[in-house]
Amino acid sequence: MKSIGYYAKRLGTGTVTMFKRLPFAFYILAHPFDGFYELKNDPRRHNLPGAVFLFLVLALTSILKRQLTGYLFTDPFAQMNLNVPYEIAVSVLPFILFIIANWCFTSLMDGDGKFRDIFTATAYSTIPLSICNLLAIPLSNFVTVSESGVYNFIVAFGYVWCYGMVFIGMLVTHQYTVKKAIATAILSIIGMAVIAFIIVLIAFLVTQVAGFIIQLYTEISFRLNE
Amino acid sequence: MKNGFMKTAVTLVLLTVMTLTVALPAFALPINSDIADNYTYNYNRFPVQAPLAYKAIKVIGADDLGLDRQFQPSDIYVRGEYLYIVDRGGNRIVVLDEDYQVVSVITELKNAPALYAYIPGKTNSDGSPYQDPEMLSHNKNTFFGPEGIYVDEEGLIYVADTQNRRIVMCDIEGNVSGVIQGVRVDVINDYTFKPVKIVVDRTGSFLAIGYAVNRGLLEIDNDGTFRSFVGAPPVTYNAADWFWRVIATDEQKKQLVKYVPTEYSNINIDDRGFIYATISTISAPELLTAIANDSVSGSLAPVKKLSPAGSDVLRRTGKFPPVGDLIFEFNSSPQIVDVAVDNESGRYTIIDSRSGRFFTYDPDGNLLYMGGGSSTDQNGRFRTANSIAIRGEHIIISDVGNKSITVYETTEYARLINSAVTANAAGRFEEAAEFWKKVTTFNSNMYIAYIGLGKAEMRQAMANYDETRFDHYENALGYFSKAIEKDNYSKAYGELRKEELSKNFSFIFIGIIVIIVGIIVLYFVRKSLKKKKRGAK
Repeated sequence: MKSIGYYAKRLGTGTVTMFKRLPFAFYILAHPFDGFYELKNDPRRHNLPGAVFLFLVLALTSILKRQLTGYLFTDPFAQMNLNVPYEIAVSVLPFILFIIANWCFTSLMDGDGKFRDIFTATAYSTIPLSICNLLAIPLSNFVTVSESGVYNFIVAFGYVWCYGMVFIGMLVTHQYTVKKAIATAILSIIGMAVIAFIIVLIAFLVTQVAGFIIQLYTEISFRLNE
Repeated sequence: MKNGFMKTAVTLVLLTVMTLTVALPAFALPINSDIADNYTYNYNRFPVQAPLAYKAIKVIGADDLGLDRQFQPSDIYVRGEYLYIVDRGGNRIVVLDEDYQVVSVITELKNAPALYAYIPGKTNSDGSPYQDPEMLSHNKNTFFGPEGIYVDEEGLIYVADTQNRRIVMCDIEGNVSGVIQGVRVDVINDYTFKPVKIVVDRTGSFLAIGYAVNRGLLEIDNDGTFRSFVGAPPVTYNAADWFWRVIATDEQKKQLVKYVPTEYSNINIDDRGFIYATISTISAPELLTAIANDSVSGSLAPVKKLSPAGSDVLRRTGKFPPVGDLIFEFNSSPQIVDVAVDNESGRYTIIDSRSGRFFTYDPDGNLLYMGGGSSTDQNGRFRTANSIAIRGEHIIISDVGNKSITVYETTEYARLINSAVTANAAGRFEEAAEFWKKVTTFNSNMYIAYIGLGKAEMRQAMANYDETRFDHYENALGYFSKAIEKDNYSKAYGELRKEELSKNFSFIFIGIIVIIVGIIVLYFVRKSLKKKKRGAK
């Protein structure tokens, strides 16, 4: 049994390493091929906590964007109700689904990447999205409708850049050819849909079973009270 | 024993309290016959409560007019002080004055020419013109099933004497000064002229809705010759129909409903010569799709404003199109049967005979307020409303189902809105803003009021080139954001931004220079520091 102090110290050093290793993400933005290769193959670049942190940043910037976007580019009444877990799910869940689906397919298709590698690469690829979210917020408060093209461009650019990074990340992590990478990307998207469907199905079944059990309980308790 | 008494006492007290709480509202709120469905649609097309806009002040039945029970009002018209009612059942015209007292009842026509009993283009086997036996039995000195009426500025009455197949011009005594009959429309085979509704335009020619004519309004010269069709409603034709047309076999095609252009249900003319026409036959799914897509135009517009050239010039710039109710069941689509126009402000009111509700719009197509409702035995509601007329602050509606005429008066709330719209139409925007301000105290859901206020603030900001203009712009932004009016908000914001930038230009310019210089300095400092470090190594 290790003392609390030990864990605290480990957490502290872990956090420090995480933040020390994070700036490498900006190297990846500038040199995606070299960067992702190093991220996977150099143990000094491994940063799983950093990946989780980046997903949290993405969720945070998405929420900020939702709440602080200027009047002209949002539904002001939607901003009155904020559901934080829902917003986190909406912004991060697609990437998590992608990671799972991609891992499922690439492990069958001679992909070199482990689950950790895919996770880290995807998380590092979301940085453009976070950056563009943060850029879009002040911009949306400054442009008029006639200049909305600028705003829309920034938002769209964030997505395109992010998806491009994810694609290059998968290409490098799994050591695929471009053709194979495109094929796995399409398969991953289909896989995401399948996973989402199964989750919905299971949720539906669980509620059905739970409903049945609750009904059974009520029925029996009525009978017992008679 | 004592316990039992207590129980009874408590029960009694409780019962009394309960009865009172249930019964009290009934005493406090007497059943009010003036209560109508009061709502308006908000910016989001959602029905929200609105103050009462119309109050039923008078319901006139056959007994009040001293007429027999055959009374069946089919069309009403207001000109000057008189209200003219066409009675389809009793074959007469009833003229009422401003106090809704009978001035004259026209049953007998004097000096009427003989009826035209022929059918143009149709001959007997021996070549002589064919005479319709039905028409030979009609009396030329009475109306027969008249459906429409128009009265010109001199007080000359034009009656669409539908079953007698003629347009009668007479005064309120029944002295006939002219008759239009036997109009030949060669485009349609075996056409018998049966006018249903008529108006007379400024050139003196007639515009009539012909019975079972769906190619538009008949434009007839004052000597009775047909000139052309005006404002033909375009054929409704959508992608799904086209698809089924393509894949259907010939047999199936025969069974498919033919593409018939829709027919106008009523027409009215304003004093600028624009014709307001309504179409009541638009199906619910079509109308709902059109409302959802905000594309109510052409054949899917229940109300149109036709220019003298026949094109639809109605402005539909509101947050939703002027179609009456926006939400309805598939099996009870609205039937917009008539429209009345207020000449001064340009606002118009349309009536939906299915729901008995009438809706007033401003000239831009914004819904201002509504009234009416559907009921058989309640004052101020209708069974089958079929015609509407406006006289100042009164709205007069005839109901062929209840066989009555209902007179509505606008409430203070509606009068404020009317004043604002009138002031706006006359270009007195400051005055309009005053009225809108009062309107918002009645109804905070009235987004049109906020738009009006915002526009007034904008105008003030642009007119006064001093320090107050910033406040005016800020106020305008506040009003536009309340009205969810993004285009205007954007305009106001653009102006404000321009003003603020030019006001603070020197600061911004200096700031940018400082930042650039700072970056350059930092760059050099860093470079020299690095050099020093290297030198130290």
